Amino acid sequence: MLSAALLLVLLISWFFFLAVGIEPFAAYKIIGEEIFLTKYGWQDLLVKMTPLMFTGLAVALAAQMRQWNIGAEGQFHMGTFAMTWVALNFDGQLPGGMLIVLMFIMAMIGGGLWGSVPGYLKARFGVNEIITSLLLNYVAAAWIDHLLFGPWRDPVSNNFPITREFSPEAQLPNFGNTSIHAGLIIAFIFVAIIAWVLWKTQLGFKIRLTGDNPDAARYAGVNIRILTILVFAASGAIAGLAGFSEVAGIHYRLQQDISIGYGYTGIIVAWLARNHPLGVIFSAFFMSIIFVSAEVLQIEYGLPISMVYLYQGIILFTALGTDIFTEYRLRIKRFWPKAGDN
Amino acid sequence: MEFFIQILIAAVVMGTPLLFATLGGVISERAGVINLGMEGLMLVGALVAFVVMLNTENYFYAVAAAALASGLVSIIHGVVCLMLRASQIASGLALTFFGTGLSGLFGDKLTGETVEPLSRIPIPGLHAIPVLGPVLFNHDVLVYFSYICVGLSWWLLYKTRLGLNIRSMGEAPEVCDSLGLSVMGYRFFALIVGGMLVGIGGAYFPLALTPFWVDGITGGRGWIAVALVIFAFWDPVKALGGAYLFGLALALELRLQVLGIEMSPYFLKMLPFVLTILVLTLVTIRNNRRGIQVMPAALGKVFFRGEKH
Amino acid sequence: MKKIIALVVGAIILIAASISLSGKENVKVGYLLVGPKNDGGWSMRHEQGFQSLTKYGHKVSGIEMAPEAEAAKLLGKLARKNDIVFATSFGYMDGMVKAAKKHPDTIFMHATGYKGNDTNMDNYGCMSYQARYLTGIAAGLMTKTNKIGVVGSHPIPEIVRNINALTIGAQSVNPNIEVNVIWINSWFDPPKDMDAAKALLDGGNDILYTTTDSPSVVVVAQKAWKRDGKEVWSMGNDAPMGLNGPDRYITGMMFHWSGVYKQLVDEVAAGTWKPNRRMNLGLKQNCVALSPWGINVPGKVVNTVETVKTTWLDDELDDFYPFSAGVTKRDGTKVPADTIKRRELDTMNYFVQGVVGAL
Repeated sequence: MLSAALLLVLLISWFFFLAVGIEPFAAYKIIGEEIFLTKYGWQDLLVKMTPLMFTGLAVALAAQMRQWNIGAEGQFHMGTFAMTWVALNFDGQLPGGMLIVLMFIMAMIGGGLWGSVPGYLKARFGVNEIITSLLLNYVAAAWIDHLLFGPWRDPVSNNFPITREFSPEAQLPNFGNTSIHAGLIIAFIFVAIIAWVLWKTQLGFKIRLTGDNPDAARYAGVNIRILTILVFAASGAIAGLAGFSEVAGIHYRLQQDISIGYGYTGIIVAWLARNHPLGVIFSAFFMSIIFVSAEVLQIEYGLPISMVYLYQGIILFTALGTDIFTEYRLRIKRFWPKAGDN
Repeated sequence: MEFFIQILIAAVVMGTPLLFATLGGVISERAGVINLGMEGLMLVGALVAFVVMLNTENYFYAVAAAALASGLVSIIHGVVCLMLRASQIASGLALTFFGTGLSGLFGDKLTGETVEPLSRIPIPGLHAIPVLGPVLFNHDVLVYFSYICVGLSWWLLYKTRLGLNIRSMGEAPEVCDSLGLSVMGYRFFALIVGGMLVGIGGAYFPLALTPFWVDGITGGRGWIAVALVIFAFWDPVKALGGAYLFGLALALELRLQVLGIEMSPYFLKMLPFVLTILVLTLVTIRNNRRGIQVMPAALGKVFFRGEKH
Repeated sequence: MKKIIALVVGAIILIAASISLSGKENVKVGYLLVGPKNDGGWSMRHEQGFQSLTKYGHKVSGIEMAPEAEAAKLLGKLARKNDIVFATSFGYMDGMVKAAKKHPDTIFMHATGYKGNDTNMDNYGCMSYQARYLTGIAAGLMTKTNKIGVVGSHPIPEIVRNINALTIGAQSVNPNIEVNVIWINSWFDPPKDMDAAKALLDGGNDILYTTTDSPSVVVVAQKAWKRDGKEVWSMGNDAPMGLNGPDRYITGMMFHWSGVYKQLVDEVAAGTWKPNRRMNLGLKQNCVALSPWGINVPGKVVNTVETVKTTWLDDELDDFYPFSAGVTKRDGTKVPADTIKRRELDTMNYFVQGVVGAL
């Protein structure tokens, strides 16, 4: 499945390294060592994988119903908005571990509500969800900027666009001394939940049926409208959790650039996983390797950051391109199909 | 009043790269191909334009080279999503990475170099019209070219057979296919032409806006263009209005400070997008009643002969 | 007997020589840049400063465009491979505090911040306001419209006090000037930068000054003069930006980091690095300086400014000048002389009279 893509990716990156004057074996060795043979490497991998699992799962869930949630980025942001509002206003007022739980719930609500907008517009009016969810990303980003530069600006940080740091009860615990935080476990749990829902419940069956054959679903009495809104809301909620995981697990405050495009990368993660929740684990891991190895390249070889984007772009194109060979059987009669072919 | 006119002039200037990119997006999406990689293509266009300008000091070569380069790069997107049938969305995102990286890589050595920016050429007679004159007719040659492109795109899409076929590809590719038209061929064409326009939009940055090279010279405008295509309802003429409207928002962002208005610039940023969603919804509702499609029906969908998707 | 003594002395000399030579070990230096290493401004100057260390045999490796949200992680990565790590932007501060705690064997230096610890983290900065004051004098002398336009990056104290210093400097030779500030809320965003510069130009400012990391104002001034014959001037930031528009460039504030970095790296090599110094360097230590004068600046202006600069270098003005002479805030309240010291400068969040702009 992914293995064919992986092989081709290695091949292309081989050429890439040669083209920029890096000895490929040495590069692989360093990347491999840094990522897999040091404990820091594994930590970085797992930490990077966490938000990708969430967003990939979110997009995959919607895609099971043939709905395209391009708004995971905005839902991520709205999730961080909702949870930060709680963290800033309620700390010290709630018993025990309630604060973090409330933040968790609010992140889901924030992302979920934001996700339900394109869902509702699609269900009720038939407005294309790709467009609405995409546009809402810009709105969410502007909203967060407004808060960071305005009412939520930390007075102590000298007018920089960041909130104050959250109190310890608003922070997710880490595993021992590592940088891996509880968000990873939550991500795995949600993967399991969604997988279970999709294949072991009536609801999941309805979702998949609607995705495969909307007409059949309608005849079977499925209320597609309600389902659409529900699925989008759930998808948004999960994307919101990606935000929760990053902010409460790593940064402990809201600032710019918390998401480096996780919402959009989630689309690629879902695609590579064929929209299957369990597959998301692997493709998120794969994407995480790409991100982390890019950082290694920057540090080890002093590659300018743009080189790193190029590297990622080539790899992604390769992975996407090889997909077809695993998914479909080509009958290569004529590569450029003409009318009359069948 | 003078200040007001200055703002409008800035709106046109800021809106011009958006206009080119949006026109490119319109043509490509009319054929059914979404291209989310516009930011990457814009950067490629910007880089190539800068390099060629630096070496030849010839604006025409620079723009032509930019168009050529971005057209070529968009072929990759076409191969991956049209031939290899990958998701157009995912492929477009990969294109963003690719284009950004390519431009940054080759531009690395160029920091500190400057080129001579395009000069303003007032159109004789027209530029003296009060208000509209300086706002529309006292600009550089690329702005005027953008006006021509709007007209050309409109003529192409609505008044030629080629345009009709392109639009059909976006509405009902199966029908076209059974009529003997090459879906892949037309889509590739639209994608490449669209990509070239996006590249010209990118070229506007080093040639007119910031005549020195910096990484990320386009400042995310490619993404705005993605939304603009929708705002323009896939129509070249509406693209003109939309581009200048967004350009106005960009121009106001800073100038509001000068006026002493304490409005959060971020609300200003949100407004165009919220507006787009509202308008899109309203038009969809109205068109549903009339049974007309608002957007190209086959947009973003992979085309397989004989399969329902 | 004499032979033995000579041999022993010779051996001692040889051993001493080899010890002192090996004491100059090669230090491994890591650093984070907030912008592209070729931005033509802030990050580029730091990059140049670090790269200058390589000729002494030290190894440097840096990450450009490092997102501030990733600071802790990236600094940790750098710390594992280097003896000393630098972070060249305010936004990396808290990330560095975390990384410093986790990596006690590496030394951490934070530029333009105010946090540190007692063991392995300290901060450093440049008294850039000193140079700004001097450039303000030049601006005050050369403006004809009495309006000086400033493209502001982020409204943090460092930038605010620089704008204040500029204003005070200009007022010292021309009490009627007005300083207009437009904030672009970014260190590096050339299209916005250019637009802000143009807006200031449209607003009647004939001296364009920037606190951002790109030379947009220089280009705009040059173009305005060449195309439209406007008598405008530009002043730069961080690096010698004059190359981008030599005919209309006056001068600017510029940083020299190689001296500071060499000093710190030498300390690391010799094992004499100490925390809690909160290094604050200025004109005297050549950390900050005036960038080379533009070709069309009248000799009289150059002389006036250079004279003031010399008094500073000769210790006739204290480090906190011009603020040490007392200022008048925009709301009218007067801050008495000798009350503004390091702490007040680090938290300065008000404009002085004469500045027009949001805060």
